Amino acid sequence: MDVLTFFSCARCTAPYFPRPICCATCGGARFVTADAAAGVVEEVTCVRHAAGTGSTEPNWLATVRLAEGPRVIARLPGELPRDTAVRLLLQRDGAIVAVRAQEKTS
Amino acid sequence: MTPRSHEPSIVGTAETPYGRHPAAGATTGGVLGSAARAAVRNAGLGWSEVDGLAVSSFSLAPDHAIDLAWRLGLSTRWLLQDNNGGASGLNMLGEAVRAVAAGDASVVVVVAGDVQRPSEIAARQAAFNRMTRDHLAPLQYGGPNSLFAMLTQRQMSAHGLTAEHYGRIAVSQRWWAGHNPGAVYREPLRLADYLRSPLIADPLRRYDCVPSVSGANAVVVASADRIKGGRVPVRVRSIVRSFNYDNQSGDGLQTGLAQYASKLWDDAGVAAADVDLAAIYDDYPAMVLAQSLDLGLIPDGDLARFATRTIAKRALPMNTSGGLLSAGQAGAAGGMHGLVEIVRQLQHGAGERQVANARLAVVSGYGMVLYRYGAAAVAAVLERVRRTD
Repeated sequence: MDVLTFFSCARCTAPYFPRPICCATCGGARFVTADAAAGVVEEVTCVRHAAGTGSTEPNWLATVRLAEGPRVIARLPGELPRDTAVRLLLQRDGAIVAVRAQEKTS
Repeated sequence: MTPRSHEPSIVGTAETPYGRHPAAGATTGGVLGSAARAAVRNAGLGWSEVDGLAVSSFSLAPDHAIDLAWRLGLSTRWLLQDNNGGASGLNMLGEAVRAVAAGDASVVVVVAGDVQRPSEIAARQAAFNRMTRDHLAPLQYGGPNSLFAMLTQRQMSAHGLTAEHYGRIAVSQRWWAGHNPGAVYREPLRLADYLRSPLIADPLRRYDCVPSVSGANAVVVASADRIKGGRVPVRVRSIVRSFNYDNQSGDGLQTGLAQYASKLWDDAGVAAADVDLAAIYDDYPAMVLAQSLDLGLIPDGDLARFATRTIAKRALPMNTSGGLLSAGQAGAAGGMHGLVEIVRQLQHGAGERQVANARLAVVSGYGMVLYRYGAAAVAAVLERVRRTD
């Protein structure tokens, strides 16, 4: 798994995830990438019934605020309290995964 | 200035029967056609008089608006396809009204709907847009329920709300649905039932989530010189629209309607307090409160009181069809369901659930979740026209 990256406007430094085409702040179209490894858990929900798929496996998801500002939706390993510091990883399939900041990952 | 003969108004409505499971052989084109024909009949107009068509549907592909026109046998001079989800119905209404006022068309059918099976809904949700396909679907996020669960938590925290407040909205709308033969869920719902219902995505419970149905809704917008005798026209006094108002950088508790609410009321020449009823897009109860606040329907900002007093005690009749929560959400028709209900109420044709002397109403549409919440919002003020002839 890779560390999640975010995108910063090369002109005005406004941070984004995902990469935009144009910066909403200054209209710039060049962006530089940077690791978005650190975040803080905001809201947490458990999807108990996924419509149309029949899945009833509990699936913990969270809104995570990156240190740089943008918010992402990430999967949690299980229930984590609000304000937990997490690290953000990007799976090859595109899923963003959050783990407790102090935990090591392979 | 619009010539008097071009003055646009809504003169016909239709809603096909909604069904939780589509009838064998039901097709999207078929239900769109049924709704369109029924609306034109309801307006007392002939099919050959239709010279404008607007359509929104998630499941029309690979066909487009023009393929639908062909299949419906309609040759038009104005055509529009809209893909703004829950905001598409009112967005199309706004375009249709302007087309008629400008003389570009004189009888426009606006139609939206879908035939959808659970597996098709799940597939559509997984590929709703690039962001969803790339970063939400791999989470098995279960569709927008999980996103609005977290939005609801933010609203609870910001406004001191509990499950009971959202329950009051679901219960109240079910009461209205009990008086609407077209609603898919009509049996009475008690607050205790709501609170005991299973969690879908914490804190959302079963009755916070709209039941998906198949069906279609339509309205006819026509110029004054085409209105048939005995029909009660409904005029669009004002309409405002907002798209991607905050680049998904906020908390979703405010919609783009907040930007333009004062323009909506100024253009209409009335105040929020003047409306006799409202149809506020109810994909989730939290969004009923958010949009009502944005529109100025909650002047003291007390969302809890608005839920328990204004909505639950029907001080302001809200979502009188039962809304999407009880009547059902037929895909893109969800963006027209409230409009059809409001027009019927203003025409005094809402049967058992008729709001006495309904004259002025506000209706909203909301949708297109880009990542964390909806980015399209539309609202209109509609008025029963007093006929002078």
